[in-house]
Amino acid sequence: MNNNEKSLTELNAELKYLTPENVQFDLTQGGFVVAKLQGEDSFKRVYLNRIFPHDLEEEFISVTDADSNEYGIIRSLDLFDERTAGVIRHELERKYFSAKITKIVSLEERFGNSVWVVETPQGTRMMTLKDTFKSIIRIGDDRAIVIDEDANRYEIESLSALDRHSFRRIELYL
Amino acid sequence: MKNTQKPPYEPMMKIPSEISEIFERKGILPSAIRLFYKSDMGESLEFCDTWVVLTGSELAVLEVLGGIFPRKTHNAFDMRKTKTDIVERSFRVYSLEEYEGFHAEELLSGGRVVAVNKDTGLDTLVFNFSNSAKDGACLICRAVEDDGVTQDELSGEKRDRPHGDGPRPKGPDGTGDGFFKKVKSGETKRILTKLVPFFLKYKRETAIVFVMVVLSSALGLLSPYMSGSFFIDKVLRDKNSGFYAQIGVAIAIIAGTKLLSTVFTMIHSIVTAKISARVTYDLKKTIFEAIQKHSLGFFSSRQTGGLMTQINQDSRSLYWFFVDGLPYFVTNIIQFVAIVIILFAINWRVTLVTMIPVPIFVAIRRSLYRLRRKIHARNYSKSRSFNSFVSDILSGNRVVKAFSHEELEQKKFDKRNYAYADSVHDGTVKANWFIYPVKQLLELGTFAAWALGGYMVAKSTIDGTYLFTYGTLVTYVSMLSMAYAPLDFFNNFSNQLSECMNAAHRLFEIMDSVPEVRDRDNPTVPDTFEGEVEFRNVSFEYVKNRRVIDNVSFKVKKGETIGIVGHTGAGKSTIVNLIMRLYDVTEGEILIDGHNVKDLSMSFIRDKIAIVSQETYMFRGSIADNIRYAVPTATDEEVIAAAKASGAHDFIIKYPDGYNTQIGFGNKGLSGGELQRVSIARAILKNPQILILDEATAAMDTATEQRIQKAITEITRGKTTIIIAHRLSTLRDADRLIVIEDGKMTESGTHVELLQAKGDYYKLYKMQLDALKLIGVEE
Repeated sequence: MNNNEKSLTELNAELKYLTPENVQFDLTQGGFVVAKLQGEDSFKRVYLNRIFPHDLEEEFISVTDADSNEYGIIRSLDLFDERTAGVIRHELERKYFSAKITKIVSLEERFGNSVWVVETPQGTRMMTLKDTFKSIIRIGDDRAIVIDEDANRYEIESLSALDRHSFRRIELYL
Repeated sequence: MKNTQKPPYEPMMKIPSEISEIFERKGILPSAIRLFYKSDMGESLEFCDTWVVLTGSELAVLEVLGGIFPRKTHNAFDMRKTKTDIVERSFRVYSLEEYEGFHAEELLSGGRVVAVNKDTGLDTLVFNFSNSAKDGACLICRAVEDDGVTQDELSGEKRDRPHGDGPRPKGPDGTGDGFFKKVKSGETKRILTKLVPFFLKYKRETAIVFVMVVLSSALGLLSPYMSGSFFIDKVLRDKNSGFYAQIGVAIAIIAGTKLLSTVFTMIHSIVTAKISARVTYDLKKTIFEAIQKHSLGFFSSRQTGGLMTQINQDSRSLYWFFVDGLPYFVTNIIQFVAIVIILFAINWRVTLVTMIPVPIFVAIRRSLYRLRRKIHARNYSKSRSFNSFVSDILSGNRVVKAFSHEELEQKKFDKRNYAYADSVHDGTVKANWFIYPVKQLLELGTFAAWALGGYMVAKSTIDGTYLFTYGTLVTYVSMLSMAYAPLDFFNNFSNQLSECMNAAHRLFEIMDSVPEVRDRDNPTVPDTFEGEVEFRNVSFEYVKNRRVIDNVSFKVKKGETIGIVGHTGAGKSTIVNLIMRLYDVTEGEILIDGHNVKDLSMSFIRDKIAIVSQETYMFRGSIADNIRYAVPTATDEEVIAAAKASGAHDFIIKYPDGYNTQIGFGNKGLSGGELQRVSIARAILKNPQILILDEATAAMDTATEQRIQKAITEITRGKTTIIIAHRLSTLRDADRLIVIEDGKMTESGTHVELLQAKGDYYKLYKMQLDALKLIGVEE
């Protein structure tokens, strides 16, 4: 047990956390996130990745350069002031954007493929799923991600919150 | 729908006039536009048309609202579109003097095109795109610097889709919106026509089945008459009939027809049993052949499990169609129509009443079917989850035990097991609630016949007028139940037919599609083979616009040993796949002995090259069988010699069953190193002119590796050898080394030359040396 605890602390020490003390974030005119790390004298473009994209949207954010070399991890956006948090949140939302399906207008299957017409806050969209069963990924009991043939991702935030008709259409594939 | 209908989307070769008018107002004349492209996402991530045009000096982006939308109907196949007025939303211009380095950044679901401002050096967002519009986005970025990009490329594959339209499955030719050509109403007919040749193969047997089914159902029609009208009215009652009181003769006739009917049924069953095995065999063979001819890309994009189900289930569905479906369908129709006519002939008044429940029954049955399908689908999904869980845990049993998680897994098992049992239970209960009452519905018809008919019989007895005799009534009632019988069949028939059509469609899709890699007509088969390999500016992408190999050129002379070094994922194995022509290059060419591999016969190439890769796959069978897989005619001596050369012999003879040790199917018996040695023996036995070792010795300890290498050096003397490894010690015997990083060839030369150059190889070498030093080993 003791050994275990020790090794965990050691592992912990390997993670480099980015805090307001050791990093400054900013937004360029072009709309991209840049950062100035402690000990460096200029801002450079950084790339943000959610480590647990399904569970934690604003915690454990990995900050890397263009080649995926990690500068460090943001433990939580709460640590940063509202403006900085907003800049990071905006970029994360862009990166992880997937249209939220609010209504399934129609869903028809022919020869193993299915054609969907869905409504999202971003507009109505028609899409094709190659293998319907495999293209719907359940996350927990109530969420689902739908991936179309071109690898576009759509999210159903709550299956139980879908209207009756929409749910009926998707039910068979869950 | 008529077959002459145009495909829903035409390639877009012209900007719509409304759009070009807006551009013109902004000062971009149609004549100045070099290329154009339509993205499907706006600046703030909503789905809308974003037109991008490239002129000689600038790139302009126009976002518009409105356009063509999919109609909001409940039928996804409704191809009609709603068109709304186009309204300009935003317009931006990027001067090519000010901006450079246009490139697409991939995000999760789509991406964005970014350019660098030359003055500030800062990245700027140009426009967004979804994955459906990705290819075009990458192309237009390339077009900024590359004059070679044409509008054909930009508009060619992707059709002018209304915005908001996602992707469509590709047609059999691999391009375009094939799917929509398929779902046209003519499709079922087309598939049926294509099935005919299969059908004709068994025309004799099918004909016999047909005739037997028709005969036995005809006799079936006769039997109610025999036991009803004939026996009761003619034999027992009608003194003038000639059969009166001839009970023995009557029974003999009745028994005779029954016997005949049994004989017909028997012949039918025997013939069916005979052809069923053959039809299934044939169909499986056809499906397997169709699958086999495809190139590796086909298999890597599909799961093996799915293909196995396809072979098994699809052959079953198609078999059903030939043997059970069509003959019964035809006879049932004939039978139903015939009976109804007879019923009307016997008594049209009663028949009008007894037919009332039929449409009601059919309607209820249809909705019940939907319910059942739903229940079935739910059960299926639960059983899928249950099965995949079980197979997962059983294959990962070692890990479960290592972490002593048996109890935890047991709990998870219980949960899924319960969920499955629960859904089956729930479904069955629900189904029973409905099925029996519905069956009773038809009984109503029978009751009505008894009541009305009985009344008529009674009345006619009193009046002496024969509206209905007792015998006819008995015949009528038994015929009525025979009329009801095909109803259920018809109901199931349409469902099973669609199942069969799906199977046939999948089969034809695979049969009709052309393998990505195939021999050209009359491929070259050279008389001699030297074994010289040359890459000339080769580029390759598995997925469009994502280069895995980028402009690689090198030459391996006959008899030379060349090493390919690089990090994991650098593209080393891809190079091997290209030499073997498991895939075709995207650009450039690969020459073997000066012939382009595309011109050489594939079997010729593969005959001359042997490959030992990181993946070893052993088929079920003995070790000797597996070694002999390379050359089925090899003698026992040759097999042993090959095993000796690869260092496999020593461990094989330690097994009690020696070379007869059964392996395969999960390779449980052999260790990783042992498997690798067997697969090297397989390659050695083939005695190839070109030997490729793709991390072949990675799973072995250094001592074994050295021993095998020695053996390999002996065998490959005078033969071209390509060794891929990330452990540099593996490559000590290579004449020359090639360093691959991110798909590009960064360096090449001998070990000493590369060390002196102090490039990537030097870095790799130092890193591995340091690692060895760290554990106390000096090289």
